[in-house]
Amino acid sequence: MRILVGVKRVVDYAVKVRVKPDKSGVVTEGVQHSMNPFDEIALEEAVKLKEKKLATEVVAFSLGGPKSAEILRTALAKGADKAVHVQVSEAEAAKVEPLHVAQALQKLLEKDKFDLVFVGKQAIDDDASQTAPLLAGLLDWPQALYASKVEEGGAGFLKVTREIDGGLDTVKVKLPAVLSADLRLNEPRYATLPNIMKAKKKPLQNIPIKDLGVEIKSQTSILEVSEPPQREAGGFVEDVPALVNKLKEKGFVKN
Amino acid sequence: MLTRLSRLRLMEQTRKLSQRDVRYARLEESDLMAFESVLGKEAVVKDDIANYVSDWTRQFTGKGSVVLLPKTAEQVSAVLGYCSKRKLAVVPQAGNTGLVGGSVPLFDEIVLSTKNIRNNFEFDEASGVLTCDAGFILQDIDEKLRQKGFMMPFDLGAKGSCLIGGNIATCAGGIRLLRYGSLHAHLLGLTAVLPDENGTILKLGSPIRKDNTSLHTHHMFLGSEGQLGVITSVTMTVVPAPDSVCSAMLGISSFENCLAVLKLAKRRLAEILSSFEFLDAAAMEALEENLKLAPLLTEKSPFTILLETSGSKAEHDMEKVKNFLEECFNEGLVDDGVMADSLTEANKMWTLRESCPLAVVRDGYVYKHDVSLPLPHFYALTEEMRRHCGDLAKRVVTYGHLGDGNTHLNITSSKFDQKLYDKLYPYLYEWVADHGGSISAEHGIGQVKMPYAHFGKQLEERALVQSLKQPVQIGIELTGLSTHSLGSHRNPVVVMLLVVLILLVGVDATDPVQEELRHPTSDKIIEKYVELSMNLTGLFNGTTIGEEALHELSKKIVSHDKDPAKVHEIYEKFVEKLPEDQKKVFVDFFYDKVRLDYMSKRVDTILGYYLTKHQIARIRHIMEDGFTVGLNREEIMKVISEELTKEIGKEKAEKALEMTVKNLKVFAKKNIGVLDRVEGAFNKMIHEEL
Repeated sequence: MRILVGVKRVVDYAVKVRVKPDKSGVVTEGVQHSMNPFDEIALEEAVKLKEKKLATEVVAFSLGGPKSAEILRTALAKGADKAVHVQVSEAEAAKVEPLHVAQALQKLLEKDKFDLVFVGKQAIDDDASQTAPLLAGLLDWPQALYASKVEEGGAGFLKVTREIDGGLDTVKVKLPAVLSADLRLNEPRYATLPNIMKAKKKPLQNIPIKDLGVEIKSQTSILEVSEPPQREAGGFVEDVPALVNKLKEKGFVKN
Repeated sequence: MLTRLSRLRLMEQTRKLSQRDVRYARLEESDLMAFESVLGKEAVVKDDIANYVSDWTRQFTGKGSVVLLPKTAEQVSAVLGYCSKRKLAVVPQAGNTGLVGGSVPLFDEIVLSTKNIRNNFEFDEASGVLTCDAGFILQDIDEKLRQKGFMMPFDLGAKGSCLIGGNIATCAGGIRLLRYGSLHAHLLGLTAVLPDENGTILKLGSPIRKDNTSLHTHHMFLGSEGQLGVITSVTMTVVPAPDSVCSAMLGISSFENCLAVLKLAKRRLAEILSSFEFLDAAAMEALEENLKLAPLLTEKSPFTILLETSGSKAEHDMEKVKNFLEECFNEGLVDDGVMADSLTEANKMWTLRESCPLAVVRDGYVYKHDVSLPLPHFYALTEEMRRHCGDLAKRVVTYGHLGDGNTHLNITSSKFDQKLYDKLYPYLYEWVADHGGSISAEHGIGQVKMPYAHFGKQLEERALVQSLKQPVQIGIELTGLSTHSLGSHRNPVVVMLLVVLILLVGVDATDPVQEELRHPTSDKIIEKYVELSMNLTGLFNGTTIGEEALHELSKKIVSHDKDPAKVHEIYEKFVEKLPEDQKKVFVDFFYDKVRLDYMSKRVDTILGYYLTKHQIARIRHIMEDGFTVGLNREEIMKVISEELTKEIGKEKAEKALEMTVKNLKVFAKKNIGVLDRVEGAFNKMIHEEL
């Protein structure tokens, strides 16, 4: 089984994000970036499958500006065998939407056979959660999203446990399929020194977006980005009658 | 090996920590009312003050009863001026996060907290200069600066609670010292209030980067631990916040390799290297067992290094770091290593290092140390202490700022063990001093290190420091923990020692107390009274003779000290008035001393015929060493006679000794048991206290 893992370069999870003064977006200049945490989890699962001998090769993929190459190097250091960088310019990178990513992946898969495409359930910068289902739709492949456990399902099948609002949902998917990783799937490993050094020699292929024939044209436009309203300080009340009075005052309780 | 003089000072400092200085007044209702009228009722706190009179480890708790919370320098000035006039002791306190008990009361001092002094905050982006009040929390300042793309040049575990004023007063170190330097590199000026009668508000330094128009007096406050004044405002430079921060953890098999990696890091990472922290296997075990924090490396190495780089361009930094790591690996300097690929991963690494103090506390009781040593001896201290403590210690953990040569050696036991304590001190501090290190790299002296503060220091240095505090000490001392030089008659043991020294050899004629008696001034009289009073109360400590009676006695004696006959009369009258049981005690202790004093002068005169003062001093040293190694009177006499023979020839030496011993024999006959009693008490004290 060959696995293609999609990874995205995003503002680091631990950074305190600030809104740009013109409210067109958040500040990304000079801010720490790293791999989308859910993509890390997807990569980790793919590498684990390879270690269990259920997969033969793991290839990392990213669609982004020049700096995404760093993220792909990290992926290689964490166990991917090869990497593919579909490159766009910095300016275009700002206009990329999940549909473009799904289209780029579709084009790649036309030339290169993979049995499984694994991505994070959503990116922490846009929280779109669309790439996996869009791709499955474009390819007409089965999908298992929000995976919290991935197991063998018999020849040509995978058994996937999914986290949904009602609880856990276990499905059997026929390969080739699209999977998206949820938080509790695994704990990603660190890039160890020997692996970092090996990663330097692993192939990283660069494909300009034009070669795939995908046009970056936004379907949406951002009107405004603003901070959530400041949380106001609470107050203490002496006893229950005082609490009831306060609630009545604020109009939460009818008189 | 420490000299006898050094040990005596050690005992004196320890004693000072257990005896309240009689010069300070006691707090009264009228004082509280005065404070309330100056600060407002809510700023004078008497209830729920446990967190102010005790440090966070709960190892040091004073008997303070009131906490003052001024909001401005003017209020601080009013309080200190009042306390100076009333002679009330004050302990300044910032965040109370210190580790040496320096910010809490020893006895009943008033706690002056600076945490409400936080009104002014000015930051100039162009020059990178920050001026703010002393009560701001370090983390809050850092966050405010980060919004503008800057940050504080130092960082420590207590950042969520420590205040900037306290950081200055203790010259805080932390994990970034390697890169940004100590606070000496950043402090430009400060405002401090002195404890004189006017509560003088001093503005020192200036807000501009370069100013050489005076002595850099503001720098004296760095590391002053609250002894010189209360800092109310700070002006310092801050640094741009780095855009790219990278952390890596390395597993290393030998300490030599750790030093090799440090050397390589300084060359290859150069200007971007910002931290180089160290944990040994014992530290990693404590983290895993006590806090369930698993190590990040798969192999368990004897040493773990956590390094961090801070720079302005991620790609450049990553390239440097990766090349450096590769070189370490290829040279065989590291067994294993991990690089953090996101802030989350980096935070996990730093959590391990920053949780070390918590991990060791969970073992039960911790003997904490903060020493800096020349790098080759950095880990040798740990190995030596492990060997020295043997089974008495539960764990011997080392973590620290290897880049600065600063080790935090923590020895744990399940509960406080006097045997382990005696094994450790002063041995550990002596070892550090002997190997050219500092017994307190960052944490300061406070209460914990007071007895050892003089290790490795010249007497002249101690005198200089004491004299620098003089202008500030007009009314009162702030913490009461000052650096006194060893006076001659301040300690019962010293009294005994000198007495016995005098017995055998003779006393140095330039007795400082004698000098003083020749030139009295009103200040000197008070000092003499205090000295004699403390002497007597110390001497009779633990007996039934009351302090007040002894104070009265001292007053009378000092008023008539030029007239020995009158003094004698005063003593007689005093003894007469004592109850029977106390009479005997007084006579036993004190009359002996009077008689011995007389004897000593006789011996001095005799020896003065044969020896110069210099020779007498040398003989005294030999005697000290003799006592240290435990020789008895006969053996010491033998050693001394050998020395004397060398100095003045056999014949004269014999004559000198013969005369001395003859006088002593006569004395002993007339004063049965005195010599034995004194020597016995002296020996007992030496062997018990040391």
